[in-house]
Amino acid sequence: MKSISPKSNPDFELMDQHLMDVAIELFAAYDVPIEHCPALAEEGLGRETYCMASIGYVGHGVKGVLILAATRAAAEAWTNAAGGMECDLVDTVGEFSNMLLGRLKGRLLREGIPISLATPMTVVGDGLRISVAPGASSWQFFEGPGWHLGTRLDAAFEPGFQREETLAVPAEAGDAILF
Amino acid sequence: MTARVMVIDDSMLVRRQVSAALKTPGYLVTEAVDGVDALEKLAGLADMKLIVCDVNMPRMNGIELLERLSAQGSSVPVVMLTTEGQPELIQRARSLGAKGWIVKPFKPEFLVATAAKLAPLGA
Repeated sequence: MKSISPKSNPDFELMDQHLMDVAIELFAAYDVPIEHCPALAEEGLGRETYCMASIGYVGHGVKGVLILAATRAAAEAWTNAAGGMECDLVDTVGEFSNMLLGRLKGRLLREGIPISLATPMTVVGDGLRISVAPGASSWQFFEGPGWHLGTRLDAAFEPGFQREETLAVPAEAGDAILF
Repeated sequence: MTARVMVIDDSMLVRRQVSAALKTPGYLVTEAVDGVDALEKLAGLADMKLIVCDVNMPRMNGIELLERLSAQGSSVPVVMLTTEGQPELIQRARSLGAKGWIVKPFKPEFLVATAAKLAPLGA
């Protein structure tokens, strides 16, 4: 697939803005307020990076990956916020990436960008870094109470990509439907 | 009286959350990590009263598991618990016999109320 860079692409900017919005909403659902932290854009999480989860996605004329990066303090805080279960912090970061992209999927469906998701892959280590094509996308960083997280949405659009007409109304996070 | 429930999710965090929510009122909870694991465990458990199942999982996803259970003629009610909210997926699950759809993150009280309706403890 011949791709064009999403840089300065209004469809990508729309997707990235929705990602920032759903990140704030997701943590608010756990009563954990986070704020967008543009000041971290230069240095990122650096050696504080403890864990990264990535999930691939594909739609009609667009494909890419979402990455969620967390410090150890963040992973511990999210586990506590989710009920304080005794479980692997890596699993927590993977599940939060899944919920993040799930919310984004709903938003994109309403915007006429239906996507399908893969399952998360999570890695843990000291000072994790990623290697991606320069300018393909950029990190967004957020600050929680005593910790930081980063999200990165990469997207490759096919030439001629267009958002679809849609009337779809997806179920929202927290909805419970009995048939 | 109690009732046995199976939670199927590749996330340990979610399995623990669901288990904690359902064990409190008295359910016995069996965990499975994906559809393949679930089918293997269900083969040895004849008293399952309810299945709580994720959609996106490796090896066998939740929709594929519904297809297998439907083909087997299973009467165990299944509630999907997922980050997905796409209407086509919900309709697909419903057509395969699913009894409910909950979008993560879930409220434990909703899950317990759903379990009480589909698999009452006193029954």
